[in-house]
Amino acid sequence: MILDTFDWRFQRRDRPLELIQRSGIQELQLRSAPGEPPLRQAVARAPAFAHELSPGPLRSELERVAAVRRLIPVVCLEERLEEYHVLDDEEKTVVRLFLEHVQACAPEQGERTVKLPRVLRVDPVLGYRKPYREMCRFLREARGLEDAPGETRLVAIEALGARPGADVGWSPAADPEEPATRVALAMLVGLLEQMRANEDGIISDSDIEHLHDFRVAVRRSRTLLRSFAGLLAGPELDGLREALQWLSKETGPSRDADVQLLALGEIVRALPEADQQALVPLMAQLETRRLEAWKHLVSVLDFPRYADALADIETFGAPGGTVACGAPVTPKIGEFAAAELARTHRRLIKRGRRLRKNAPDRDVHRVRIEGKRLRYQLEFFRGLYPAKVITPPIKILRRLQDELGAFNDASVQTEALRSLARERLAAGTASSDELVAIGCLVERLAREKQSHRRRAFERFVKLADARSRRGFEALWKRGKRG
Amino acid sequence: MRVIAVYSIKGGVGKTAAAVNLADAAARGGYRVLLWDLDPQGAASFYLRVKPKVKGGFEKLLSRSSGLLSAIRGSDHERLDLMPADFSYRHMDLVLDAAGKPRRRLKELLGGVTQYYDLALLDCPPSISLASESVFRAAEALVSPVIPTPLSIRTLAQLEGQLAELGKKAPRLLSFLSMVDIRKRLHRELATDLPGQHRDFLKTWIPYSSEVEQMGVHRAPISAFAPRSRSRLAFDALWAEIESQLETGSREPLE
Repeated sequence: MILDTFDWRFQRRDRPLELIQRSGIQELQLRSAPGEPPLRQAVARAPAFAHELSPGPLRSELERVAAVRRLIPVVCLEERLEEYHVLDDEEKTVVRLFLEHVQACAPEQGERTVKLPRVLRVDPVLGYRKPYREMCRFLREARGLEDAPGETRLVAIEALGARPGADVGWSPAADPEEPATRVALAMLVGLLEQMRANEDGIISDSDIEHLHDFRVAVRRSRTLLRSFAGLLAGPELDGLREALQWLSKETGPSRDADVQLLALGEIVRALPEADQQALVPLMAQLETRRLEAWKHLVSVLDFPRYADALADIETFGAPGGTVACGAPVTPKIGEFAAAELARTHRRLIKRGRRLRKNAPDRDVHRVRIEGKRLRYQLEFFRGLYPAKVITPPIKILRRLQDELGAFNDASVQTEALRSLARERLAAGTASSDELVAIGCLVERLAREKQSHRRRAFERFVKLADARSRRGFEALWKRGKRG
Repeated sequence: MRVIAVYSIKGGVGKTAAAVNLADAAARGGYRVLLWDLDPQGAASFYLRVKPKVKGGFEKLLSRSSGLLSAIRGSDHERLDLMPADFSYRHMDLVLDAAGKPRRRLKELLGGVTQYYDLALLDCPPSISLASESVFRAAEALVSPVIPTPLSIRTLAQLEGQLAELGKKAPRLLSFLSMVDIRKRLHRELATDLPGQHRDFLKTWIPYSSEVEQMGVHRAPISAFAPRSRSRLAFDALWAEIESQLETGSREPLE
């Protein structure tokens, strides 16, 4: 069985994750870098999340790639194998050959199965590369066999027409000579596709990251409208901004509840058993709140206002739509990107100067928002620059954003915990043990917040130093040259 | 990755047969196993049909950046790989000594493959040397076969004394009776008495059997050619007992 996240993170990295059943043993296997053996672990059943595995290299790698995403069965393969061995003069197996008869089905497509073309697979044995190469050459040259069209899993995916649950529809700018307005509208339509692609996942609640990706698409759209504000004009523009703001607001509580449950759950699991027990009612209340927030979110997606908002984006972005160019001459996207990146970077540095080791929350929050804008812009314009020019600034900014994001999460969670504690105390449902345990959580979050604030400051200093600045400046200098 | 050494000061007690069959039992049980044949005679390599040859010998193995990885060979048995023997292992003491920090070297080499295996079993040559001290440092447990004869029991006492000198750094000693012939009165008596007289003496014992001798003919673990035999069941039971002893082990696995 091939497992993947809804957005096919393993497939995209060419690192398939497989649950293999052989000789009564079930094993989870993840392909490693070329030349290295795969990471494997025996499991009793297919894990729904990476954290369900026992600690080890496989779990760490799954957590790195999939993060909190659910591991979903994408394709099931039923294999019948005819096995042949090539032996050396010690009668030791040095190459294995398998004639594969494979049937494939996609769990989402019900009963439909597809029979794949037969394939002769040649498997090397660790430490015996030479006979493997010789066998491959023999099969090609003496037997005239051709290379299979691709790995079995890829052929199966192709045959079944399986697609990622939320295929990313938008693609960033690539040609610096293109008119900026056209690029902006194409990106906007792409982001709209991304929102739509995540709708079903949000409604079925199959993975909380559907909502995350949906919200990212909304935020990117807002940043896009803001960044291209001088170029885009039209009667619908204000309405569109309002609609996107409304979407951000309506989807916020559900996302906050997801993050809260996830992050607090992780902290609670690390507490002593007695504290964990004391917090069971609180966690149950958080679950209930999350469910309520999700129900509201699903109803929002059913509102006529939601359908209208998406239709407006589509009309606005469509070629020949109602958009008009607000500027007398549309600049090329390369020049536009350079100017815009320089402006946002300047603003971030200006805002960031207020950051200190003990800066007030308000200042940290402002830097986070400005940093996010710059990050989205870097993503919009990524395709315009060679990787070696654009990657270092993205990396430096991401490091800062990670700390600022963690700081923000800790702030939101602290507030939520305080408010919950007050509510439960007023309702008379909180035990003293529970309140003490909540106190421990708040204290721990306060410490985390403090350390993220300090690290964010350090990372901002790094972002603002001469070397990093030169890295950023290379972007707009290059843009100006075209 | 857990590291276990099959070790005895005395020769001919069934170390290699135990190492190969325990590795096979663990692999069948789902562990990814690396068996390292440290004995220059290369009997474990012979049993698994792998040529006892390591390119560049032990000296090169210590110095190359890829460490063990490039020398490991896949066996004919699922999840069981072999680090083959090499005749140069007979000079292991000298090479370890010349390389500096001799007692840490095997542990460092094994550290390079921890992410690929759940268990490393070391098939050690019979000796007390610098190499065995390096084994003691790398392994969390020594599995030591004991033949029910006074001479073999004497070497067990010697080994216990040697480990006692290492104090807390000593690996756990898990001894078991090997090549037991229940037709002999002495064997029967010792099989009853010994487990009570030594700490961590395993209850499972391995019978004297023709299947162990046939391993050399079939060049495979017993499970491959006599899957229903008493010896195979005994080795499986021995592995199960070792596994449960490790669950309550005193030393951390190698990270």
